[in-house]
Amino acid sequence: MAIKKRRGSSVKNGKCKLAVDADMSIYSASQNHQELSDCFDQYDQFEIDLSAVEEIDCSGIQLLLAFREGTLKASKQVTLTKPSDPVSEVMEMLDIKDRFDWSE
Amino acid sequence: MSEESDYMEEGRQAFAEEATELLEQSESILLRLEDEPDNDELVNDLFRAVHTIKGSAGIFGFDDVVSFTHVAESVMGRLRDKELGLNDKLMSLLLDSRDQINDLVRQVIDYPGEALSDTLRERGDGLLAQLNLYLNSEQPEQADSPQATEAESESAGEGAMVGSDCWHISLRFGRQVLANGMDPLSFFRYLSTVGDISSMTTLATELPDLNSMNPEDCYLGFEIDLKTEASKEVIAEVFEFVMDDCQLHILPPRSKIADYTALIDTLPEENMAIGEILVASGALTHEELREALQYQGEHTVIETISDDDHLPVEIVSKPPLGEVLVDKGMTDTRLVDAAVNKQIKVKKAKQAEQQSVRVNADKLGDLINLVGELVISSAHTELKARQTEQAELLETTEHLTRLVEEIRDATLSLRMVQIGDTFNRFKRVVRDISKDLSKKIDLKISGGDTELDKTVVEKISDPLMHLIRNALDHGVEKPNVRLAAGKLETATVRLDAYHDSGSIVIEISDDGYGLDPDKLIAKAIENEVISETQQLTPAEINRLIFAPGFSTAEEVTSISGRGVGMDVVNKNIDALRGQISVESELGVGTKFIIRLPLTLAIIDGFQVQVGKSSYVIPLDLVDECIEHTNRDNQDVKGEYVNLRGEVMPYLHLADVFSEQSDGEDVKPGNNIVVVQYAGQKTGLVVDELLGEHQTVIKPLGQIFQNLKGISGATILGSGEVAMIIDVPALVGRVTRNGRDTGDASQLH
Repeated sequence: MAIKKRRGSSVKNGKCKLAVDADMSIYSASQNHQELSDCFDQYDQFEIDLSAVEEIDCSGIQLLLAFREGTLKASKQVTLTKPSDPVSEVMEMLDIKDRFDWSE
Repeated sequence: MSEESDYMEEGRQAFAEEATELLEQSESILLRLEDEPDNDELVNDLFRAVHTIKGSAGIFGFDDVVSFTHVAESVMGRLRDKELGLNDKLMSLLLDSRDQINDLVRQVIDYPGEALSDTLRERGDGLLAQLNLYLNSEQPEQADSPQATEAESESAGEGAMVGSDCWHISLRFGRQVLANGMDPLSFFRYLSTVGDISSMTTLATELPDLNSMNPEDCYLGFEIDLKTEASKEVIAEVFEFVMDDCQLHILPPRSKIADYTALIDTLPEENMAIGEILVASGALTHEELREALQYQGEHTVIETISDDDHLPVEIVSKPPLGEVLVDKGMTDTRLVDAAVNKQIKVKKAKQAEQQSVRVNADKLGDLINLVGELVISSAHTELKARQTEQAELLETTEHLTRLVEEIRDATLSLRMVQIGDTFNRFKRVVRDISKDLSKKIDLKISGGDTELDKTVVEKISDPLMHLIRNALDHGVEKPNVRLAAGKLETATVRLDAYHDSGSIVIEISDDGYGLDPDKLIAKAIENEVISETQQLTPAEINRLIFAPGFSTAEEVTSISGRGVGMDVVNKNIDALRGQISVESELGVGTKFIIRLPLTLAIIDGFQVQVGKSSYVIPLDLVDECIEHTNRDNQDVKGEYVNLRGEVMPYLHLADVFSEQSDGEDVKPGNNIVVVQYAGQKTGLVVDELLGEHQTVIKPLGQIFQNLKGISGATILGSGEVAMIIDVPALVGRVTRNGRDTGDASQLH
């Protein structure tokens, strides 16, 4: 599992806390996509913890963008949290940090 | 790389055409600037034209063009910012620079990939050295508007330029790029070693829904502004490994950004120019261009309103821009509206002024021929319909005829161009020749917006050039001679065009020596053009210069004086069914007057009946029709009528063309059609007036080529042939005969 569900996630109240594994690169893209898509349908509110991410590339970024797009369209919510250094660097480089909601 | 080179190949032609147009434009701007050095608008236009050339050249990687143009543009930029004053020397330098750009463009288009010739390079270096003098001269403080001077350094890299160096890089990665093991991010990391990424916009418009996306495909696009000293190649090399897998556009830095409003004002123009090349080269469709421009507008708003806000993902997606931006709380409605309105307005204005299609002249010729046939056939149809006397049929055919007339006019107007462009070309000629001859000559142009048929314009250009050169070389005196003669030191050569009853008149006049009748006669006798005993009117003497091999210039110069020419000029103008005449007064000046028909194809005619035949008089030349009352002295030659107190000569077409009147229904010689040509009114006596007729001019065969008084033939609705009357010839005959011999009616 590249993305783990954290405790506190519950289908009942629709909240889902996710923590992404070390790799958000093309090598795990397919798996990450699959898991995010699965969760997407089950919950309304997401919190994605990015603290463990060691590697992220365009595929990871566009996955996050697509996920965020999806929540907007479906009136769901997603917040990102604890970006690791690699994540912050990429977000800043691409100037897309502000496109996501962040929580502490 | 192959995609890239195909694209270059396609775009090259578009670039050549645009550059040629812009270079012509800059030449005429420069020449106008010489007269109005304080006209800021002109300086701006000049800057824009050169800037666009540079930008387009940059897109195609014509670095020789870019590096030279860049420096020239920088000098123009300083001119625009009033850091430099315009003087003769700078003007010459700028004109030479324009020529150099022109040659460079020719070089890269005609010999792609080849190195510059030594002469071109040397000349370029020489000019660059001179241009740099203007760049390096002391430069006022720019502190209050740091962005006011646009300065991009490329391979040219000449210093002394301030402002931001933002290259705009537009990247669209191919789907496969990630699967091929390349991460766009790594290119950006590398790019940041080449320069400073001042702004980066990630576009996710292509990104599909989470469910339908393939996570291993790349859907992202990027718009990057890069500050760098590096050349275009260096920037392009960053993306070398991904070149096959992405669409990359590197645009040289944009023009100056004075303030926010000005930015919104100016930005789209630049982009439009570049966008048009892309459209022309097939790289972009109009739709894509529109979107691209819209995006630029949005981008602008975001950048300018607040430094903290950034472009949201949705920005280029389908919903209207304003909604998205305001929804996101990104900006206030007013500014968005302003930006959007601006975009729309600019787009519309651009469409109005620039949306043109290049069409092969042959196709247009075919169309005009077809319309000619259509006109004839519609006349035929109308005639047949009239014979049936069916009201409904008549009604529809009338409607049809009107439409055909409109089609005819619209089609012919396609070929109408303003003569101004042709005229403006002479400015440079006058400027250069007057320098060569060390004469001071002022070329005054008026009536440049007069329109005439493109085919005529093309053919008139050479004769005009000849007449201008003549005027410059031996029409106008040297300054000291002029001063001695009590004239202004600076001579004036005038080019004038205007419409006059169905013709266009072009006048070339100078205030120089004038023609010397004695010299002309002496020369004519020497060349055996006339005999010594011959008596000539002043007008006839002046016309002698149109005789073959006739030149009164005592010295032959490189410009004119070889005595070939005036007869050729005369022949060329004859071939256009035009006329040339000359007026001159010794010591005062000379004026050549060229009259040309507006079009060579289809005219509105006025159909008349003489005897059993129909004739067509070009309607534009017809002034009025009057009843012929003074018919008692019909057999008297050299007739005149009193036209409201004016003496008007007239002639009987029946006599001219030896028509036999059938004398039953119509009274012969019942009407006078008053025609006017070159200010001379003449009456043509006809039997019956048949009304307007759309006339498709069919040239006469060779046998009839020398027929006087007939300029062509046309086919009537009935299928009959009607002759088109050559009014200029008849009028000329009447006036000449009237004066000289009193015999008005005989043509030979």
